[in-house]
Amino acid sequence: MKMFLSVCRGEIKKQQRNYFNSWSTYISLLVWPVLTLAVSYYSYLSFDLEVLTKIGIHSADDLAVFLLTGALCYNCFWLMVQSAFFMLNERENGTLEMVFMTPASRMGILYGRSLGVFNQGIWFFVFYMVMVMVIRGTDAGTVTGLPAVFVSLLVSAVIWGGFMNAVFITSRDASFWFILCDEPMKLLSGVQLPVTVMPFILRALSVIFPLTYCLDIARSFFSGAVPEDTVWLKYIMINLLLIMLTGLILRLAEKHNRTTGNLQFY
Amino acid sequence: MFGISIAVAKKNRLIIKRAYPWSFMWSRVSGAFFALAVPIMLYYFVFGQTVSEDFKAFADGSDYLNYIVWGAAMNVLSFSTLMNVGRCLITELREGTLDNFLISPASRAGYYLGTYAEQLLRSLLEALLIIIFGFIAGARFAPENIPEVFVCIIISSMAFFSLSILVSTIMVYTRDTYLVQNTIFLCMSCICEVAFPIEFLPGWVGRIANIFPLTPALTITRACLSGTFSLEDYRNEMIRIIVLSMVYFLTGYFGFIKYEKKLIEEVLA
Amino acid sequence: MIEATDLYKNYLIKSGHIWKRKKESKEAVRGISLAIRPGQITGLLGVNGAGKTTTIKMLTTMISPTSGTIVIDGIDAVTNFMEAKKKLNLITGGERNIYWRLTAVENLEYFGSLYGMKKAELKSRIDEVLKIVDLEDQKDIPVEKYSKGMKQRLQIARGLINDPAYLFMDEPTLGLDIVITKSIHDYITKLAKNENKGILITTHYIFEAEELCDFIYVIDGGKIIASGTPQEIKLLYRPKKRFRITAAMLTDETVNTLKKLNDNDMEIIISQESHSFEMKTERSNVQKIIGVLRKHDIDISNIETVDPTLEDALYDMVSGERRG
Repeated sequence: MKMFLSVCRGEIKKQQRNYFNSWSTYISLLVWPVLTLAVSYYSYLSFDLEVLTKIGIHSADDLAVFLLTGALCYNCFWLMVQSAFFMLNERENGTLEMVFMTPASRMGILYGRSLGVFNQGIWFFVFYMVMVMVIRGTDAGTVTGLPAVFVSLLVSAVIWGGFMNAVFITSRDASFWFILCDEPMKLLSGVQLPVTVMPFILRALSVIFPLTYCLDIARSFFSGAVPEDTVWLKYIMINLLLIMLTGLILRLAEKHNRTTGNLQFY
Repeated sequence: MFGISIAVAKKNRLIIKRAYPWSFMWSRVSGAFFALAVPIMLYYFVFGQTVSEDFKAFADGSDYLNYIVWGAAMNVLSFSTLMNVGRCLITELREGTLDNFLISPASRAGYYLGTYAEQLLRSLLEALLIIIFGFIAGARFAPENIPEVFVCIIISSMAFFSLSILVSTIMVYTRDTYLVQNTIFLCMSCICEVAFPIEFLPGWVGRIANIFPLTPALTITRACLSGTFSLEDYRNEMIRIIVLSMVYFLTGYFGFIKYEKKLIEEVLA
Repeated sequence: MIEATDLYKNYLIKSGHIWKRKKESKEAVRGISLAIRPGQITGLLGVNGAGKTTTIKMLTTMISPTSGTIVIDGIDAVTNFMEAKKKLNLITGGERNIYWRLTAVENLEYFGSLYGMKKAELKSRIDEVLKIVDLEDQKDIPVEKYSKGMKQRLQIARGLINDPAYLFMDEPTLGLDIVITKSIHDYITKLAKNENKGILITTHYIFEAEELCDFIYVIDGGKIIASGTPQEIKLLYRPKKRFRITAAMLTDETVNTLKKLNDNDMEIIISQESHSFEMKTERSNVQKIIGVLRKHDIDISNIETVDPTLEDALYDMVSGERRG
């Protein structure tokens, strides 16, 4: 555990020093999400919004908060995945090999990497929260729910980031996996439209994405309610499962690496 | 000039054959596919196949599915042309082969043209995949309009080519592909009537949309699809496409020629 | 001490496309045994593809041997590799393996943290290693602004951060000019002699091995074909003596006659100007040459013996091994 924490801290610091303040972070965290958000909001305007009352969206403001929450949670997850993309540079520069030379806790490296970008994500979280409050007002539900939303989102996103980092370590063509995980997650976990309206098969698929539960939790709080216990339970289960899967991938990768001298399976 | 075009097209063809950029194509097509999936699901599962009066008023008689499917298809065509042609020079720069091109007297315009010709079929194919997906999802259009639509697509594609020359110069100048390409793509998706009528957006955004050839290209394509196209009615759009193409071609081309001297110094230093 | 016994490494090489995968086994290392002692510089010498990198990767626990044992100060490095990693580090040549956007201190802080070092311990260790490689004055400058030699020195500092008992250096002077190479050599010697590190260095620069190493293993085709001190290696193989004979201008006829004498016993290299030539042969054969030159009325102005270098020995060894 001591090793895990030391490695995690070192990785966070390095990650911030190496990548923080680059233009790409600001454009990809501010400009792109705003444009994407606009596309989904205006796509809704092609329809009669009154129909949405059946899923609890009673006004254009409600719709805006619904989509903002989706964008906030999704982008936190995406931020973590971005940290995984830098893995490619590390492999090319040979630093990845050096890292695996050391006895460092492998899980510490992965979670440190994703936590490293989260600091940058805080201002971004604040930005979204301010937008939600401007629309919604600072009523009790929104404000008291904030810490819970923040923590549940942070934990889940970091675990997801660690998982993606593990996948990226083991793959040569990382963008393939990224698209395979990212786009379906965005569609199925309810970022832009509620999971409840989807056909059964898609709803069944949405179960595997931790983002689904983060969104459930955040939207419950923002609508002044408290998430049901079953949502929390599913949230915990899926995250534990992801941690185990991450550990398994790492173990296989290390084993593979030690026989072939190569971290990549594919 | 055409000699160099053919040589470049041949070289690119060989590279593509050896190492097909699957991940680029896969990311564009799947990106468009998932972008399309959201409004299709809204249409069927949330709103029960009825659209708002506003949409009907602004969509020039296009039905919803055709509107979004052709929006996505043309967006992919435009984006893949921008990427294939726009990235050509910076790829050479990154692989260290740009110096050979820079010190040769080869026609610069010929180079771009060769790259464009080589990728044309591929980007059309990507757009076709989107249309097929749309067809499966229920978009239908009259077959007799297809020849007109095809002419439209080719003209639009040339407009996208002109823009891509400017994009190529910007990429070489900024040494960046990631930010430039994604920002342009998202801007076009948002303001060029790809997924919803421009009238939904604040008025000033509409004026920005006019700088992208995709906006008039989509208007004309949709008119052709619904059989309402006539040269008199859509003269403004046609003129806009031609003027935009010329402006982008000239600024991109002469921008590069002007920057080239500095680039040679940087690359060969 | 590091003791490796009877190491074998087979790689499975996959070829063909997805549907028609062919798998071939390639033996990269075939029964290597070696020892690395504290305070000594051990050389692993061989041409490209000889198996140097595979051997070093096994010894640094990056890959596991197909069979054989590696024991590092009593720790079984094949099964208990995480423990073994604490005792060693690897330094490679070239400018990779460090973060260019970070400063020297930031790089070292990061790599130190990977060994679970505590803050205070790490800080004093960083000062120490920066002092060893003389980078104290440049410690807060981003690495991208460093010269090649400085980057290589930082690599050494990185390799020392966990105070390893054993240091592996994979071609540490690759691509460096003679002045920087000399200074890197000084650092390496200092590490062995003053810090009592056990060092294994791979190189294909023979002068480097000759200058640095206390003990050398020559490896070719995945096997050790010779081992000993540099002097022993030279003697062991006893490469043929070389004689440099300087004479008046040779006629074409003489050159042809001399060329005919070339055989397994004798190798004659005639210089471009055709008035001096070198021969690798036994002393007795020199008389034969002198006879030929006299017969052709050619004056001999000088005959000198050239001492064999390690390079001669290695060249003869590797080419002899391949012929055999």
